Amino acid sequence: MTDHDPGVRFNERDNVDFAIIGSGAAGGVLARELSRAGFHVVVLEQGPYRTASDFSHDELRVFVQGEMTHHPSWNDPQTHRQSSRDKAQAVNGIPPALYSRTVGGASVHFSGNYWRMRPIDFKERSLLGSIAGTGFSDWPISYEELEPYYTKAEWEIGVSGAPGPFDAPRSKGYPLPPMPIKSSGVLLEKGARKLGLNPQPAPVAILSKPYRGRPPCGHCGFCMGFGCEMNAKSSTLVTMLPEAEATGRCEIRPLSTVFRIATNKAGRVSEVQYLDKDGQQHAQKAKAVILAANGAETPRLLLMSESSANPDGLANGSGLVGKYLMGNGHSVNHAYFEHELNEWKSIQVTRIVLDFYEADTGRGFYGGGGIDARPLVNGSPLMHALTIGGGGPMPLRWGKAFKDEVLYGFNHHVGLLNSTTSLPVESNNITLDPELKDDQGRPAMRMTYRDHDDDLAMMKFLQDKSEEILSAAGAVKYWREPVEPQPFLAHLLGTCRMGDDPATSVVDRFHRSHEIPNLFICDGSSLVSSGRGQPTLTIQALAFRAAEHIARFARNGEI
Amino acid sequence: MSSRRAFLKLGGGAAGATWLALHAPAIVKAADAAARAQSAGADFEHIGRAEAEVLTAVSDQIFPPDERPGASDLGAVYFMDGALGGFMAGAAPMIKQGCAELNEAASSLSGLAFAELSIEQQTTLLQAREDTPFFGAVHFLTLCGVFAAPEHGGNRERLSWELMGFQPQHVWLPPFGHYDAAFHEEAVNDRS
Repeated sequence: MTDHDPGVRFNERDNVDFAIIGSGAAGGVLARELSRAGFHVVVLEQGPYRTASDFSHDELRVFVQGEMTHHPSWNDPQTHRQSSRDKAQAVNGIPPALYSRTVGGASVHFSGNYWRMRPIDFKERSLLGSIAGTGFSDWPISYEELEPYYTKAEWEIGVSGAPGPFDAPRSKGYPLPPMPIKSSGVLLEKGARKLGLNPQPAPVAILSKPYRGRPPCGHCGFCMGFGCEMNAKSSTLVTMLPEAEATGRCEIRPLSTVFRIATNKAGRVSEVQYLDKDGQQHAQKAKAVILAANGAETPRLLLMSESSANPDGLANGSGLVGKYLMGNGHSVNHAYFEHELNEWKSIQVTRIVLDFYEADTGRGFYGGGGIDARPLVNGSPLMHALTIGGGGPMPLRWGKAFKDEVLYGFNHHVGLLNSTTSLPVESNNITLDPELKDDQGRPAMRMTYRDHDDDLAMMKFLQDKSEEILSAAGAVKYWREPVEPQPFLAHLLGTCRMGDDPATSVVDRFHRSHEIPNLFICDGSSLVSSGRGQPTLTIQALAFRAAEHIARFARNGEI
Repeated sequence: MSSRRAFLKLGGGAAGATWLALHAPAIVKAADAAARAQSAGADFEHIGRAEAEVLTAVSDQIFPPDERPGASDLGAVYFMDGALGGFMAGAAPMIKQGCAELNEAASSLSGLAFAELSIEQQTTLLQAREDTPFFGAVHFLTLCGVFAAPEHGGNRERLSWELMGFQPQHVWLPPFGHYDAAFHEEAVNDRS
């Protein structure tokens, strides 16, 4: 990795306008908007400053070893349990909270599916009523209020797509036409149409044409889980962050792992304490702090920042920091088709089906979702062999039949991924593990999570629909992965929910914490409901909106 | 977010799974050495001859040679040698013990080493060990040695990729596969 020239370097004793914790989907937007508005910004990112030349197609390093998902400098374990009655166990494999530790955060390794939420997502509690045992709630803001920022995100980031028949109203079309359809998209479209459904092009944060100095996608196929070597994936790494640095007012400080947000006697946050790559302690002074570290690291950090003045952690008067964790439900169908699909080329998803987006009380459970066609992890050789050998349809996962199937399946496989709502359940949460610590003595992240029974029912419901689609599309063979409580989440939502009432939410409608006037929180943790999957566009729309309000507060001396 | 069950087994299968910690420089180093050793037909560095014989036989049970090359033809054991001296060093004692146990079992069955048994006898012994950490780890290593990028010491001449129809290339143009090609042809015909 070459050393990155930050353009501007602030002294840690400089009381900068904003310290932003996290450089991902939300942090990147906030850094760009606030530095462009004239403020001095330091972005602290625990991962290194990888750029296109650092990315590769090396499955062993990227996927199996988690080059970007593990802490770059030391072991930072997580624990998981399904219920607070259980003792959480350390997880050695895929971390329960799966995110990318690199400048640009998870926007570097995501698949770029950019769905808007719909008006119902913001007011579903009022429409459907309460759901016992959950914190099912309306948002304090409406779709209409967020719509301009959805549009702004799509145009500033670079999204390829075309409106579908059920899309929420939009003030402007997509900046780029849809990506070219893949064989999986053709088959989803064929099967869905036979069933009377309405497939549509998938909106993705990947360039179908040159845009703002970046080239279009080269269809290399190493997209989900990998960094883009073309800069065609619209991560904040190649969109927001370079523009923030270009202002000369924003320093992105990589390999900086925050362990505490400190407060002063007035009860305001005063500095951000962090460890460099060698574990040496530093502290950056700031007039205000914006926490954008993702829905798992954000509550972990608030809880780690406890003090005698804030014994339950920062901004936690409601007791809700870390609670109502939502991950979106997922279920998977697989199929083989007669002819070669070559799904290992190009992006993951080109067609989606959103006919089952809305909840339907006739189903007997709450939920909604979407279906997309994609290679899943069967789009690259090693992951295909490892996963089809371990969880596939074969009686034996080794031997001649296994070899035949691995070699045949690579070019004949298509997957359908079903994404669903997650109900906010208070007992699904991020807490600090009482025993396990990372190598630097920070309490390990503990995830307590079990999908609500309605979420599981919705995952199963969509799997049934997907099977009908695959059959109608002419699959020669199809099978499904069992629906069971998810052991890890890549969408980390709801843990510092937004609301007007300080008793039932952590941040207000402008992302300011209810208790600490100069502490803002804006990332997946802000979401009140989960949507139907693909939350990143909503997170970025929130970040654009938050930046506008935060800049106004700062200019008016209201922080 | 896919193939979650199978994906998780990656962690469970390799016993102890400390291999998931970051050891990237060690992997690269081990892989370079493995590649050199393989091209020279050299001895293994981190595993003994007896273990290499067992691992050759087991990997060829998992991904057997037929009219196409099998795991050992593709250099999977060289990959294992590098991995067991590098990022999977933590699993090396368990693997060595597993190899010894297989040889003992073979010996009490017929007085031979595991690699000297008939294919059918080997299969029977392995079927009885399908759920052991040893088999899980060797299964994982075999598939990595067959399908991972050749820079890691296996996948000789990218032959496994050729067999599965994968071409490592950075830029493609549509159509990508049979069905989208047909879709575009239909669209063209509709217009004409």
